[in-house]
This record gives sequence, C-alpha cells and structure tokens, in this order.
Amino acid sequence: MPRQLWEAMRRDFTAISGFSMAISFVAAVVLCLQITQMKAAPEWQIAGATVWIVQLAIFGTAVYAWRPGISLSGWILGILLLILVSLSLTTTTALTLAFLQGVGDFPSAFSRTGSLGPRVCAAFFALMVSYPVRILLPIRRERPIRKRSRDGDADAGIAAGGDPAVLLVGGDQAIPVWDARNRPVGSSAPSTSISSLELDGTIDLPLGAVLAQVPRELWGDTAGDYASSHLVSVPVEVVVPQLKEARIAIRWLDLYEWLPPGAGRAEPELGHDKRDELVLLPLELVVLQLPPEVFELPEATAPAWAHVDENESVLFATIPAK
Amino acid sequence: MASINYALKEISCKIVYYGAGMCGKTTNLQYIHQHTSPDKRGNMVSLATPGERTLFFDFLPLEAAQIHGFKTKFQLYTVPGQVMYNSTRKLVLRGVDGIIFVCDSQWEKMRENLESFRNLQDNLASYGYSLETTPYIVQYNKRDLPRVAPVEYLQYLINPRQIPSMEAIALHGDGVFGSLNAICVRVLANLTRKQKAGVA
Repeated sequence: MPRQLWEAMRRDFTAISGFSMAISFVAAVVLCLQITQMKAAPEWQIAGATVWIVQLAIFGTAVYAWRPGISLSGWILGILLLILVSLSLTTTTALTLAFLQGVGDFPSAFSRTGSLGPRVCAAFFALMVSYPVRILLPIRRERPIRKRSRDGDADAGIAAGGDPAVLLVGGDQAIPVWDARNRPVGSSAPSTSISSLELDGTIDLPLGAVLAQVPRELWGDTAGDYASSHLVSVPVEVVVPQLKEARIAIRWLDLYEWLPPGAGRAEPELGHDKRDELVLLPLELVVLQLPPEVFELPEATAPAWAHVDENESVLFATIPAK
Repeated sequence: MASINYALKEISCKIVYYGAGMCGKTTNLQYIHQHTSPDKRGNMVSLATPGERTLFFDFLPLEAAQIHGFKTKFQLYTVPGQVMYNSTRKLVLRGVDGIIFVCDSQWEKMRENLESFRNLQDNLASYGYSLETTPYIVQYNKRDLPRVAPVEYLQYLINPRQIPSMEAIALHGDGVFGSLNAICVRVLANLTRKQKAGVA
C-alpha cells in the first residue's frame, strides 16, 4: 500500500499541484488575517458546536464529491485531512498575528482566529489547499456484480499475456464461453428495463487486456511492472449504457483514474486530444461479466407479419446432406 | 415487390440476404444451391473477387412446391457486405419481399453487425420501406466458432423486438433451410394479408 501511495503521489502530484497548494495556503492565511482584524457583529456569534457540525458537513460532502466511489476509511481520512489543514491555517494565522502584534501574545491571537469569520475562511480554503491530494484517498473495491459463465459460479476472467481472447480462472482453468446454442431464441422475456436495474458495483478487467487497447505513448513507466492479470475495476454504470452500441468507449482520463499507479500517463503536457482519446474496452470481457438481467428484453413487439403458424412451411425440393 | 401471375398461376417473391461483410450470406446461398434439386432451381449467378468477396450480388432462382395451386418462385439475392458498396446494396433491395439478416456471431464483428443493420434500415427507408412492413428474420451465423457472443446479447443488440431468429452454421447447412423457410412462410402470409386488404 505505501508503494502504491508513493506511485500515485509520483504520478499525480505534479509541481503545479504543490505550487497551487502553497499559494492557496498563503492566500488563506492572508485572508484570515484580514478577517481577524474585522470586528464581528454580535449577531454573528454562533455556538462552537454548530460551527463544527456545519464544517464537518461541508467537508464530508466535499470529500464524497471529489472522489466518486470513495471507501468509508477514505472518506473519514479525507475529512480528517481537511480538519487538519483548516486547523493548521488558523494556527498559522494566529502565529502570524502574534508575531505582528508582538511576541508573546499567543492566547489573544488564538482566541481571535478561533472566531467564526477566520474559521469559515480557513474551512473553505482548506478545501482549496487539499484539492490536489484528493487522488490519494482510497476508493471502494466492492464487487457486487456476479460473474457469469456457462457453469454458473466461475469467477472473473483474467486475460493471459494481455490477450483479451484468453480467459483464465485461478491461473489456468479456462472459463467456457457461454454457449447459448441450445437455448430457445426469440422467446418472450420478462420485461425489465436497464434503468430499473441497479447499476452500482464494478466489473474487473485484466490490465493486459485494457492496455492492449491503449496507445503505447499513454502507457506509464511502470506499466510493465504489473502482471497482465492485474485487475482494473470499471464501474458498471459506465459500461451498461454503451452495450447497445456494441462497443465500450471510455475517455482516457477516466480510464486512467481506474488504472493502478504508474500504469498510464495523463500529464497535462500530453494535450487534450491525447487525454480525451477514447479507448475501447474488450466487449467480450465486459459482457460476460454482466448479470443476465441486463440483457432481458421488454415484451416482444413484433409486427403483424411476424406472427404465422409455425407449423406451416414452404417445401423445397432439397437433396439430403451426405 | 412480389408478382402474381394469375394466367400462369405463378407467384414470384424476392428474398435478400443482408449483413456485414464475410458474415456468410453467400455461404447460405451456396448451400441452398448445392442442396436443392437441379430441376427446381436455376443457376447460381455470383460475381465475386478472387478473395471470395461478393462484388455485385449473388442470385439464385428457386422454386418451391405449389401453394394453393400456384407455382411459387423465390429469387434469392445477397448484397455485398463491404461498406463501400452501399449503392449496390440499395439497388438489390429494390422490390424486396423478405430479408434474412445474417449476423456474424463473433465478438469482433458486433459493431459491424450493428452498423449493417442500421444501414439496412436506412436503405429501406430510401425506398419508403421499413422493417415494420417488410418481413425479415435474423440468422445468427457461425455459432460453431470458439469466440462467439451469447445469443442473449445478440438479441439485445440486433433484435430487441424479438423478431423470429435462429442460430446457424451456414458452412455446414445448420439453420440454412430453417431460415429460408421462416422467411418464405412470412413473405407468403404477408402477401396473402395484403391481398385480402387489397394492397398488393
């Protein structure tokens, strides 16, 4: 985990991120100082507990919005981070104030920066300061979607050697391709629309199969360090709406978010055309992992000509096959 | 459109095999040609490139058993599947009575299948026809190949209205006559229906 964190840091935390954090921090301190100098109106005095509750609500919402699919621990970590940054802003402001007003007047400085104005300012600036490090917060790894195979319960497929055609289970057992040859075709299926299905959860695709679809210049330095069977989790809600198009196209910047640290590149220097390039996911691996309900069709609406007596036939003078 | 010659007591219908390139349309026709009695079929006309790609169309006249005293003839056509031959495909669709949409079941052909189906709808619309009024069936071909999509997904993709469909291995003849029969029955029933309504 620390290695992954380090990799994520190395990949996503650029000099620009650090610069913007530093600038935001300084700007926050300056603004807090300004606000501290202002005399607060009496009606602005709000109970400390209320301020804390509002602050926590804002932080919680922000962290959740920043990182879709964030884990509970990641969410708590994010809130703690924001509180820490907020406190460090007010503390720095207090120290600066004490320094400006005369050394030794810390209690007075702290009580002034603990009032509503500077705290609100620090809370909002904490969001700005912490924004670049949101990518380090861990996301959920849940897999509620049941993998599908002819025999029932075989687990997710893993592509061997980056070849999307080869599916392996537990190392070498091949997932049989779902054989629908003996199933009745055209029978009327119960009515279920995609919108009524729960589209949460993820499907797992082998990194090798995913990278095989990605232009080489977008591969990260450490892409080769991962086994091609390393799994990439893709949200189901992203793939299902595209099934009707017989292809699953994902913008590279979105896909990059789901790749392991260092497997891809998405620096701003690559330019918009590269970062927004569409990558096609292997349709076969996606479809075979989705539950059958996804493909259930509404009530048949065949036109009148389609309904005939199935016992009727047109006779041709056929020669039996030898 | 189907022609009915009351003097000769003859019905003639046009069936078109439509689908993406290399999906097995010509193979269907070849199998029918090889497995029908020579006195009940004409010669198969096929204009193909050396790479076995249909250049213009394939044509096979076929005669069925008499229906209500009428000699029933079917003219079977295929279209070139390659995207660049759309004007030929459009031409072949003129006066069509029934369509067999041949779908290649292989995963890598899914997009081509979908595009071909949309192309069929567009080309029919250019004549004022539609799949609402023109009988068609869907044939899922190449089911013997190792990497094929489940029929449920093919239905979801190509045939959400659940028009009659069947699986086939045209190379071995599985589902070839089944598909032909399914469309012929519907074409004749549609013709009868239209006649009763005074449309034909």
